Amino acid sequence: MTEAHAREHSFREEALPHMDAVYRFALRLSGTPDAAEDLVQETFLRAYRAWDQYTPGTRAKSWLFTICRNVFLRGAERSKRHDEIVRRQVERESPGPVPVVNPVWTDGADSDPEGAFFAQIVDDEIVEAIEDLPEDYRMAVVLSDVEGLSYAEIAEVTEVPVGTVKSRLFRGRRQLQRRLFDYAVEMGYLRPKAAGGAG
Amino acid sequence: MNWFDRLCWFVRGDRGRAAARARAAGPRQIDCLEALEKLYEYLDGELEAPSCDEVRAHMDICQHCYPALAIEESFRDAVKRCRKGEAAPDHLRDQILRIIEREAADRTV
Repeated sequence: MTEAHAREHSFREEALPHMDAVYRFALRLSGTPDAAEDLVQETFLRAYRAWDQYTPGTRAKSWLFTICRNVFLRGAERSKRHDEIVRRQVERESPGPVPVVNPVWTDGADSDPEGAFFAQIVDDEIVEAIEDLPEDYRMAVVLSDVEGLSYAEIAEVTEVPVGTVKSRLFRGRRQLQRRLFDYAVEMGYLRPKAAGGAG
Repeated sequence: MNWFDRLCWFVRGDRGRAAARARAAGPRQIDCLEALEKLYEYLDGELEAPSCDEVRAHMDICQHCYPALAIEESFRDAVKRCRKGEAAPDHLRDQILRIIEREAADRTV
């Protein structure tokens, strides 16, 4: 009895505080609040059942993200998006080289060298842009830039080498920046460098 | 040349000047290409000394790379805003607590 209570207590103390982060992650993965709620419930249920296998003091947040991702990958919601995911993965099979110098740095450098236009973009647009990223890039960017996980932690959660994490982050961020930059131009937050303009 | 043209010329072309400067100075100075290649790792806190110090030192003095750093930081601030306002709804929180309690009760049988 005491052991069960201690178990429940430690789970509440260490795992439940990450519910908001897991919910955010679930939203980005599944796309709708209803699907995200199902995903979060399933995640915490499985986590509680596996609590004996969790080493206290290690990063509970990463562990929960791992479970959430696994539940998502096996879940019904994913099969609905399966064709879309396959299409995007096939498109990405041979990605071209990405230049070191980010075109976004230079396209807006004359009128907005500090990237102030990012601050003017509303949260909803940023969320939508993130959700439109291919799944692999989206997970890397969310885990790193929204949830603050390290490369090693992201590698563990997504079950790829650190080198792949870096590559996905690099490409994902560039794609996201390009999308937000184009949106900012559309909204008149900044004027891009004139095409073929004199420097 | 404008800033961009100058940067592209430096990245594509003459590394000899960078090497000569590095030999003359004490600690290793890096060029724009190396600094920009390591920029994401630097901003992600994944670079250890001495690379971390080398990138920071370069960013401190290089006006060509400054826009890159500033824009990347603005981008990160914008993305972090997604964290706010997305808390697990109260009813979800309650449901999960009930699930945990039920599991705990089942186990004590």
